[in-house]
Amino acid sequence: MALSILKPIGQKNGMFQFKADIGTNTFYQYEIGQGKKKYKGIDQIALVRFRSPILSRNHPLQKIAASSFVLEIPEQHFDREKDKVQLISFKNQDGSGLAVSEVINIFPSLRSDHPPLFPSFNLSVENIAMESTSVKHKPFNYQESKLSKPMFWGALISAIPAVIGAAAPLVKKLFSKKKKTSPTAPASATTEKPGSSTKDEILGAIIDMLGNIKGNNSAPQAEAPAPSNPQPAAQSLSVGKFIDPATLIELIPFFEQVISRETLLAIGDDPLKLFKAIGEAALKMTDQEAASVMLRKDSDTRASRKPDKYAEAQFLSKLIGAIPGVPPIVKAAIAPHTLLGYASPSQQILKSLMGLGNNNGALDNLNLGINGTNHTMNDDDLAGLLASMSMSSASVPAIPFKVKTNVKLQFVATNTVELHGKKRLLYSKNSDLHFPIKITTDHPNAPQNAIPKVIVQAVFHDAETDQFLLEKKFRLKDIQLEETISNIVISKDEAIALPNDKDIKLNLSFIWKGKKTKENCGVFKIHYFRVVSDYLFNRIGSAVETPIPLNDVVSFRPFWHKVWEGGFSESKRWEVSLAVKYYYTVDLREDTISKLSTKRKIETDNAGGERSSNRRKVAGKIKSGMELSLHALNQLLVSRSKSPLNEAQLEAIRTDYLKKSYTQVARTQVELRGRAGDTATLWTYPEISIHQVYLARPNTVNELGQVTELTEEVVEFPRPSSIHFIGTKSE
Amino acid sequence: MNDQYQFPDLSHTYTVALEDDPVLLDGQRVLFDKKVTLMPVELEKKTETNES
Repeated sequence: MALSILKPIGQKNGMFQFKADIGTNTFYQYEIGQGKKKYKGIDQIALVRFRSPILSRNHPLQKIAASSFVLEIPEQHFDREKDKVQLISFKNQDGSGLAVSEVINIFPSLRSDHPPLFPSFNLSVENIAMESTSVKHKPFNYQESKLSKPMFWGALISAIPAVIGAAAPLVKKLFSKKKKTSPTAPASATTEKPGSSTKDEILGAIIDMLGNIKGNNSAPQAEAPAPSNPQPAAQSLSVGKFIDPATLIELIPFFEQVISRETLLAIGDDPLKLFKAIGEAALKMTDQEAASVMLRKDSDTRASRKPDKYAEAQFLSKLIGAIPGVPPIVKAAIAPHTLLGYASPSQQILKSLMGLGNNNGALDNLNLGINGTNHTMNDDDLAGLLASMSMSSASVPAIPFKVKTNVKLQFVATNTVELHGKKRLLYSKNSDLHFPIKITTDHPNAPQNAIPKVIVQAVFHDAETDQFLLEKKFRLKDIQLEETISNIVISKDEAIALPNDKDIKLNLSFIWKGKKTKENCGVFKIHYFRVVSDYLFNRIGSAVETPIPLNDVVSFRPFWHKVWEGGFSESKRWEVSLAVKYYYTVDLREDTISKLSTKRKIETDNAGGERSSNRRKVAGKIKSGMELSLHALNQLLVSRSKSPLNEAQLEAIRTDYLKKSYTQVARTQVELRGRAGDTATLWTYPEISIHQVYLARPNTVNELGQVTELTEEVVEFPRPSSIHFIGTKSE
Repeated sequence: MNDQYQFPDLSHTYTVALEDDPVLLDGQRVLFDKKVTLMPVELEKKTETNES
C-alpha cells in the first residue's frame, strides 16, 4: 500500500532525523516551508521554500530497509521562517500513486504546558525525541572585535577636515570662507538673512549631541547591578568620547551645506556612521567638481600643489597610525613621505572606504602604499576591520549636477521626539511622509525670479547596510527662493519599502538648469529619519528580581550545553588545564536556540605529540557559546508565570540595540584530572535576570506624518546574567 | 517544574565536600561548579577575509 509517514526521532551531527515509511511506493521527496493550508481536505505546506530532488527507495544516499527508513535532513534547511516539513511519496516518477504525510512542525514552542522537554534526567543528547529539541547546532563563527572601531573612526573623523581641505576644492572654499570671516568681521557681517541659514540649528544639534555624550548615552544599555564577581574590563566603549568636539565645530560649514540637523542628532555620536555620511557627501561634491579641479590644476604652480598632496599623504599616514595593533613596520611603511609618489592617496582611500572604485576596497589601496616600500600587510585584524568598512554602493543613478555652494537646501518643520536618548525624526507608517524643504541663498545678488523648472530626486537607503530602498523624482515648476516647498511626499503605500525602526538615509537633490550655462546645477542634503508602526524599542532598564538559575535539567535542557569532553586512555594520570570563554548572543532571525561548536587550541602538551604513559599534562584554550532567540527567551517568562511579550512587542525589540546588549562573555580557567580511561566533561548553564524593557508607542502624529509624541510602555524580558561552568568526571 | 530535576547550585560548595558527598550529572561525578558573571563584549561574524 502506498504510504507517506514521517515521524521525528532526533537530531544528530547537524541533521534532523525522521522515521519515514513510504509503503509500496518507490519514489519520495520532502518539502520544507512555512505555514499550513488545506487542499482537498489534506494538510499541505502553504509556502514551499525548499524541495528535495526526487529520491528513490534504492537511492544510495538513504539506507532503506523494507518500506521504512531513517530520513536525514540537514539542519540548515530550517529556520524561523522555514519550520515545517512534509514527505510526499509516489509510485512512479511522473507523480502517480501519490501519498502525503502530515505536516511536521520542527520547532515546537518551549511552553511550560508542553510535556517535559526531556524524558529522563539523562542529559545525554542521544536518543532524544524531536519533540524535546528546540535546539540547533552551528559552527562557532565569531570573533571578538579586537580593534576598537569607535576609536578608529573617531581618529578618522579628526582627520577629515584635512582630507576635505586637500581633496575637495568646494569644501576648501567653505572652510577658507569661515576662516576669513570669523576672527575679524563684526558679528553683524556674518549674520545670515533670517531663515537663510541652518548654522544655529547645526550648532544646536552638536551641543545637544555633546550633552548626550557627556551623559554617556551611546546606546541603550542595561542598568545592570554591579557584578558580584568582577572580571577583566570588557570592551564597553562609549563611541561618543572618541569624537573630538573641536572637529565637529570645525565641520559646521560642511554640515550646514550637506547634512541635516536631524542626521547629526541621529548619528552624530557614532563615528562610523558620521564618517560614512561625511564621506558620501564629500565624494559627491568632489565628483561634480573634478573637471574644474583639473582645469585649475593646469594653471597652478608646482609649488602650490605640493602642500595639498602632502596633506593627503599626512591623512593616510594618520589614518593608519590611528589603528591600534598595526605593526610598527606597517606604520613606518606609510609615513607621509613614502606616499607622495601616489596621486591623491586620500581620495583613493576615501573612495575605497565608501565602497567605490575597484572591488578590492580599502585594503588594496593600503597595500598599494605599503607594497611601494616592499612591506606586506598581513595583520588579520586590520584586514578584517578594513573589510568591514566597505559599503555596498548599489543604488539608482544619481542625476549629475554641479553643486552650488552659495545655495542651501533646508528641511523645515521637522518635529523630533526623544528615543534611545536622542532626538529623532520619526514618521508614522500609517501616514504619508511629507518632507517640506526650503531653498535659501546668502548670495548678495540672488535672483528674484522663480526657478522655472526643477527636478527633486529623493533616494532612500538603509543607513546601516546602505541597501537601496526607494527612489522618487518630483518635477516642480516656479520655485521661489525662501519659500517652503510642500510637494515632496512619499505616500504610505510607497513607504512600505522603508523598514520599521531603522535609520533611513534620504539623499535629497534639488536640481535646475543654469540660465547661462544650460548645465545642471543643484544642491543636496543627507537627512536621517525612521518610520515606526505600533511599538518601538527604547532601552533596557534594571533587573526587577534576583537572577534565576536555569538549573532544571528537564525544563531548561536547551540552555544546558556540553562544551567539552575528553580524557586520555594511554596515560596513567592526566591533567587538562583550560582557559574557557563562553559567549551568549541573540540571533534575531531564529526562533530556536543554537548551540555553537567548541573551538579548541592546545597551547602546551608534555607528550610532545607522542602517547605518554605517565602523567600527561595539557594546557589549552576553548571557546564556545550559544545563540539565544527572542522566542525562547519569551517562553522563559511563561515558565516564570509571567506574561510573555505579544508579537508586536517582540518585533519591536528585534533590534541590533538589543542584540548588542545581549552579546556577553564569561571567562574562566578550569582544571580537570583523571586516570587512564577516565573522561571529563565541562557543562554550562545560565542564570537569567528579568529586566524592565522600555517600549515606546506613537501617541500623536501631525499632518506631515511625523510622530510628535511617544508614550512609554514598560514590559519585562529575561537576559542572561551569569554562567555556571560545571566540571564532571566519570566515576 | 519538578524539584527533583533541579540541579543544585554548587558554586559555593568546596571541592572537598563534593568528594565526600558526590553529586552526579549525566552519570558523572561533579568536580566543581564555577559561577561567572557575564560581561558585555563586541562580537563580529567571521567573514572570508578575516577567518583564521
